[in-house]
Amino acid sequence: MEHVPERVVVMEGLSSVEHFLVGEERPRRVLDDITLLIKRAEAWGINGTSLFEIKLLLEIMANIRPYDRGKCVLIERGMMRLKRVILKHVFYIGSPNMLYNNMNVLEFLMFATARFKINRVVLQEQIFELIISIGLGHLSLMPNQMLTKEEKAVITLIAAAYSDSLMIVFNFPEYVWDEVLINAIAKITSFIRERGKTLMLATQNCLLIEKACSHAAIMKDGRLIYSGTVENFRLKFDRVEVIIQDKAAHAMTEKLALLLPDYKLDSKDESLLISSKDSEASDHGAIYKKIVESGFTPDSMEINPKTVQNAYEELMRQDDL
Amino acid sequence: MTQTKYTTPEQIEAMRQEILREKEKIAGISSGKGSSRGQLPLRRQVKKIVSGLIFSSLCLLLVSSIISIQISKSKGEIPNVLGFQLFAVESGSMEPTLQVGAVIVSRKPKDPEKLKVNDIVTFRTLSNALVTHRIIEVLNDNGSSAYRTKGDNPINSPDQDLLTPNRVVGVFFAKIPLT
Repeated sequence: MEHVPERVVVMEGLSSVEHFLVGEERPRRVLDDITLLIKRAEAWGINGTSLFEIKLLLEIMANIRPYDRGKCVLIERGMMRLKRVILKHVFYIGSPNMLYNNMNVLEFLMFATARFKINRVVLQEQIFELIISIGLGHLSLMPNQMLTKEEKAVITLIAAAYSDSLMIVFNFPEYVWDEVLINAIAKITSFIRERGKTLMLATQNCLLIEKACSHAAIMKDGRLIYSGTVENFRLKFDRVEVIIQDKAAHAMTEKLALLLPDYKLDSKDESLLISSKDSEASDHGAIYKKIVESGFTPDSMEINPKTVQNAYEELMRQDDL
Repeated sequence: MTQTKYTTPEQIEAMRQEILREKEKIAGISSGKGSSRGQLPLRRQVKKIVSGLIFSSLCLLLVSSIISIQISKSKGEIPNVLGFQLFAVESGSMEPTLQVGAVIVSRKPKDPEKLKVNDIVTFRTLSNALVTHRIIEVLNDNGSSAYRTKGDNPINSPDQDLLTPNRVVGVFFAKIPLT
């Protein structure tokens, strides 16, 4: 029976060779003391303040850049610090130009899967229906040269999903994703995870992480300030419990602060954000009751769905303090 | 231009229909629908089996040839494969028919007594050297045959010794081209 590695990426105290030179300060490593464990069939969203840091981390992860200190084990193979070997287990997507311009999307995907020994017509149907089911039917027969760079990246991700590489690195932190492509990536990610593959996705788009990823790693100033599940990240750092929308929200802040001493109140435009001061679960019913009892009837009041974006902002705020 | 950029629902449906047609065609072939179509996989199978057999018998022939050549060499005999032998022409006695360096294929004669005039034969001389010359005369000496041989080169005269059938090694069969 073939051995399937459970630990796909193990990084311990890893530091990059590259340094940042900022003003007259001492140069600092772009990445320093990175410790990360990524397991099989997980989808990781790597986010942070610096595009360069995120991109470099994923390049080291794909073993296309050297590192200086620490340990990096990819798919149970220790990677030498300075010797770069592209593993066949790694499908690295770092450029949108991996598609042939003389083909259309379906033709390219058939070409990319040409060595599979299954019926070509059945495979073609599978791929075609997958493209449609992920919401990219409008691209299915479009010439590759007419795709945007983001669309090209997503098509390459489909090819990676069909490959036999255990680890897929999707390194486009600078790309701007629209909702159609975010949903498509989320669906491809599910497909990738079902096939037992692991995805590392570099992005500064919190919605993409929320929809597509099971885990998140957040970086700031070359260090990893969070690594864990997306669920835990949302619940731990997005402390906003209730959002009130009303023109008089700002005027009511002080009055409501007296009624809700265990909560922090922030007014933003015509919204009032009620956040818990600790990570304990809040009683939304009790908050609603106290507001109504005060005689204030807002235009709308909703329970915050807890987003990665809010959690990210809160984490950054905490780290600044 | 933007309107024609994306794949339209009509194009998607047309593609679906095309895939469906291809699937039906394959299903028809594999279930044996239609006399001519149904035979196709069978014919392919037979072709595959025959080519497999040919390939394996060629491999077997190659291996057995190598073994028999090595055995013959170790015994000091002339190696042969299925009764055919290879010789390299080392002198110009048969020019212009056979150039120096040419490689010829000879076959063991079924009956060395019944060779004819103009046959090119490879034989052992009385001094045990291998020579390839042409028979120019068949002689009958007390009921047994003997041959007079001569190289094709015009400067050659007929060989002094008559060739007896027991010294015939092979009869010229073909010349390997470009040698």
